[in-house]
Amino acid sequence: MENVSVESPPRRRIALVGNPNVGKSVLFGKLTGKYVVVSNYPGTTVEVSRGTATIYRETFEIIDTPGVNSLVPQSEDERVTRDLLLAEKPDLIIQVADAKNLRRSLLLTLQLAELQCPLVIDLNMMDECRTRGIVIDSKAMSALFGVPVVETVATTGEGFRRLFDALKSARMPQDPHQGDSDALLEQVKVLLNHSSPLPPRLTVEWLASGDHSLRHPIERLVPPDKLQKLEMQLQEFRERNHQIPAAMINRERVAFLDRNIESLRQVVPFNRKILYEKIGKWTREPLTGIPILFLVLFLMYEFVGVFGAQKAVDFLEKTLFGVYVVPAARTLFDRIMPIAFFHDLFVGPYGLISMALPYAIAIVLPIVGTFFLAFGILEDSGYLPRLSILSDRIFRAMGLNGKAVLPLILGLGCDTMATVTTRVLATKKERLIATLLLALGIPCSAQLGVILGITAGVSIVALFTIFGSVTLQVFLIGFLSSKIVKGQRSDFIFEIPPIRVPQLRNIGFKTWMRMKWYLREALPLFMLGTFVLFMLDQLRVLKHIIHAVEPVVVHMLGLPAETATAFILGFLRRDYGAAGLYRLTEAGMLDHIQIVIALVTMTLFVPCTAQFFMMIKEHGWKRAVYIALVVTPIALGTGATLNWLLHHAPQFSKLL
Amino acid sequence: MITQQMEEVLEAVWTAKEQGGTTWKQVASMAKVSLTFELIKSLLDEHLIEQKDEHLNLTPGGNELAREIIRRHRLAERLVMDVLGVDIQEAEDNACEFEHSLALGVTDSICTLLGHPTRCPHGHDIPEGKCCNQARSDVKPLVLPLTALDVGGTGRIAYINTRNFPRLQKLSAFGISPGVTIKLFQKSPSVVLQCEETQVALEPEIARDIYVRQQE
Repeated sequence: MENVSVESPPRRRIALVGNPNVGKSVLFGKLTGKYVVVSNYPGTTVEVSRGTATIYRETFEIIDTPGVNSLVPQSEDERVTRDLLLAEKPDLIIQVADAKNLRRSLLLTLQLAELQCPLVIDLNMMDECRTRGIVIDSKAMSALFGVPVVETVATTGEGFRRLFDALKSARMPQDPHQGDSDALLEQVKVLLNHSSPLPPRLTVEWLASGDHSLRHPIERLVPPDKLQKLEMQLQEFRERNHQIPAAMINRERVAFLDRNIESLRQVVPFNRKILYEKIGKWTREPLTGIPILFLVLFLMYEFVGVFGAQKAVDFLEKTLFGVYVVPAARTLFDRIMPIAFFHDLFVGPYGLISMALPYAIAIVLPIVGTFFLAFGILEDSGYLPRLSILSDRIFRAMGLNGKAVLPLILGLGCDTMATVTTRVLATKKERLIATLLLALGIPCSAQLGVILGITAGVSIVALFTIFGSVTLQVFLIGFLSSKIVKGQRSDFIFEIPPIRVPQLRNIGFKTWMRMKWYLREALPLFMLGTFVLFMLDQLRVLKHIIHAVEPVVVHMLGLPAETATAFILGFLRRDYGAAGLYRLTEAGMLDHIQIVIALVTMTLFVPCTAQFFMMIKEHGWKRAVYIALVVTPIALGTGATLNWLLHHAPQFSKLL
Repeated sequence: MITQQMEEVLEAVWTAKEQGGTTWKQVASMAKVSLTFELIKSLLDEHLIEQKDEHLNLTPGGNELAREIIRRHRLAERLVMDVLGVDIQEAEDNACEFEHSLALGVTDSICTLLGHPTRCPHGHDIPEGKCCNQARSDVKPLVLPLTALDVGGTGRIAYINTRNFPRLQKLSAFGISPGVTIKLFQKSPSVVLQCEETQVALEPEIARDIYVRQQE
């Protein structure tokens, strides 16, 4: 065995930093062997991931960061990266750069150069660069910044050896640009006391950025009197020169790139991949984009709603569990377990094997599985961000902008995860409204699948009534909250990634990881929920609860009293409640009108526990409770209204 | 007869008022010529300004004239800076020189040529001229808002007409800054442009403030 010294020096930390959607997470995965979700849209990574990699016998800690377009953050996910770089001072930064977007990448390089940390520039996605006929002079680039520059294709591993070699020669970058702001920056440096870890240019820019929450690292590092003095100096400079210092610094960076970029890059006319560009065009223009959207929805419906929620569920539930697993378990327990309590705990009406397992594995798993697979293809193709172009106007009426389409669509996968993704939105107001809408009206994949599965046996009119009511509520509440919630929406300026052919490996892996994650998250909760229900039933409390909510469930919503159990389960997990409804309709306990009402109410109903805790984590107790308090009456009110309407419009109800 | 010096004073009164001051002292600080008694008197005689206590104000006639001068001056600044590519300080000096020699008709042509800009390089408002309200244009604009560019067209960004600094910063992080060549892909429902190899979607309100020089 190797002798490990106790005194071994701490691992050196390498931070992967770069613009969004340039392949940081791919590189991270290849270096550490840890999988983090990789997709084709900016903002997939909103949290920091850490792993280790051994390169030439040295073990490093690798840090994957959310993508940033600038170290002057515009949103929460960008702030995470900036704060990490300031607080942790990594030993080395690898800037993962999109080679074909050299200008944007170098703008960030210039900011990174100010951090005074050894740097390696990794020109990634060289394959896309080549197909566009772009040639980059990495030697000249290396000379310009004084750091190693390597070319890689992270997805295939091309150039990794060069990257590893470059780590050894990583150096502090030169600060190559100068300009009229130099004199001012000297003053700033003196004020910051030279020794401060704050880079002078960026400090000026951070002070100038509007959002106060983005300033606090400076406030922590600079005593208040100095900070005040600094701000006064900047104000003075501004009045004397009629120029905003931060704007001037930014202009100087741009001017530096203007002077140098042409000598670093050559574009050779080349056969471009026209087809992908055509697809990209068709998907973003309304005339073709809207029909394509409907086609995509239809294909999703066929795959998730028909194949997943009906065929696969049917097989697993009726055949696998119905014929084999549950009867076998029942026979076994009948024979070996004479105590009724334990017998029923496993195979009774609220049993762990007779209820929790089939709910989780036979009803929900095939639905989320097919959904994640289809969704993965959409994610990796680059299709989803294009929807922001078509929907920006609608979102603006709701106090958001087109960018919000991403977290809301991700909510169709899992509302809890999507609540974290609202970080990509720029303002507090936007994040709050998006979180509210996720809690209110965006069904998660399992709910969606159950809705599709149940309504398949009802009618297409029922399906449209359900989606129509929910969508209407989402718009209405979005519109109202845009008036009520204080604050501003941000500018819609959003990067649209290129259309790419999804890689089967990544999609397969991603779906597998998500299904594993689902089982780990959901199965224990399903077990717990069933156990609670079982105990309530054993202690004869369940009857009283059902009786207590009868006025609401039976009189207001016009549903059978038993649906109360499904709603109680819905508190625990949305999909669990939905699966409960699935069982009730299978048993023929709901008529068509009741199905519509139950599904609409369930969709709008309170977020599940996991989502609620995530809301607390992201927005604090108070806001999370407010949201839950707002959502419940809306859900019940909509259900009651539908109940009244459908019973007063017999002509329409007949169509259901 | 209105002298160049008188024009300078009218300009100073306008600018001072724009910044919220009308006192003699504030006007003097704006003026590029010294405010002599004779100069003021000649303006008073021509009924271009009126004096009340400490305060100097433009008469309706003076207002009309000052507006025209300001318009000429700020358009000249835009012209010098955007078309000739001279920087802001030099632009001001040059603009000063030829604002006085621009004839009225020429002002409107330049305004059209520049795509009817609404703000000067310093961010002050350019008063509207007749040409700005008219749809017709005899002169093909050299610089025009991005939203006026044809779909599929290419342009070089001349300037971005906004005082919203975070917006400028954000645009520049995507590579959208003056001097950069962009291609317009789509205008509705959102504007989509390509800059280097990045496609960026923008709301039309932001795109309208990006002025480009059309390229073949």
